[in-house]
Amino acid sequence: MIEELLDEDLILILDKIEDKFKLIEIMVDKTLGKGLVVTREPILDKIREREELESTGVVEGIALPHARTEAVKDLLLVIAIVKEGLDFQSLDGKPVNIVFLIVAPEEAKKKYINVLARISRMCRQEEFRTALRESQSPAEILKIIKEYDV
Amino acid sequence: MERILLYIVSGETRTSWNRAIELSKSLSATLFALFIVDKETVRKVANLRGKDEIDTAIEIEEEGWKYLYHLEEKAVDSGVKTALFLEEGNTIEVIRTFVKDKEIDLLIVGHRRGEGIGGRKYVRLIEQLIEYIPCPVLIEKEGG
Repeated sequence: MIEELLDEDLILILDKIEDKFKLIEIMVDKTLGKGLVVTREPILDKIREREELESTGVVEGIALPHARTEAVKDLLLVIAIVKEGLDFQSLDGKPVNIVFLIVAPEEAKKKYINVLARISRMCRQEEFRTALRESQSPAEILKIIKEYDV
Repeated sequence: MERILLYIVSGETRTSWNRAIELSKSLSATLFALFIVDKETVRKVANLRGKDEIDTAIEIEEEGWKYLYHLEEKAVDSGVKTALFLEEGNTIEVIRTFVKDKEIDLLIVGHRRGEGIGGRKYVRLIEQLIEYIPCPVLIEKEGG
């Protein structure tokens, strides 16, 4: 399910970034060539609006910024690994270094929730989180996702 | 009242979901939503389905996340700040620890009309929550 939504272009590995909204902008920009984005700004606005209401930095260094908007034609998934970690105002106060950005059209609610549920479940596994953090390339991350996406 | 906890049992407890969202909104409280993968339940469901316990736990956990994100969508539409949690363990113990650690002011639980052993067990669970949870408990009758 998750693997089908990804390719290597949608996976980022960064050493450091300090601002979560800057990271989200970079992640959204990764999707622009895929023909799935109608307009960029409404996506960023929706994510910012959602982050202001509640931080999507969950626990254990994971963040799942997510939103539904008509600014996309189909569900978008982008992954970023930030080696040094960044402040995502997480519930446990820990820095985040694994970020899954999920954006879906309004009508794709079921798919959106299924993807969020699958990623959340995968992220509860410590081995999965460790493997992602230690990965060195998008290809390696895709392989890890494939292994745990069952 | 700043912190309200909704214990999510299943998708059939939407009356309690709505009550939790309404109350959180009117009190400007944060809504904490908790789903518990209870090990005893996993064992029983696995036996009943003739399936492996690990696979059953995975299915139950993913279902739990779906309930949590459904709730979050409803809450966000109402402008309510939410925090989602999925924990494993004994239901009463997990809720008791959660209420204490997160300084919860009110626990909301849906009460389904149940028959047979499952229904009686659920009533017993609610009785235990009232007895052991160190905060007020609001029981919302499901389905009117």
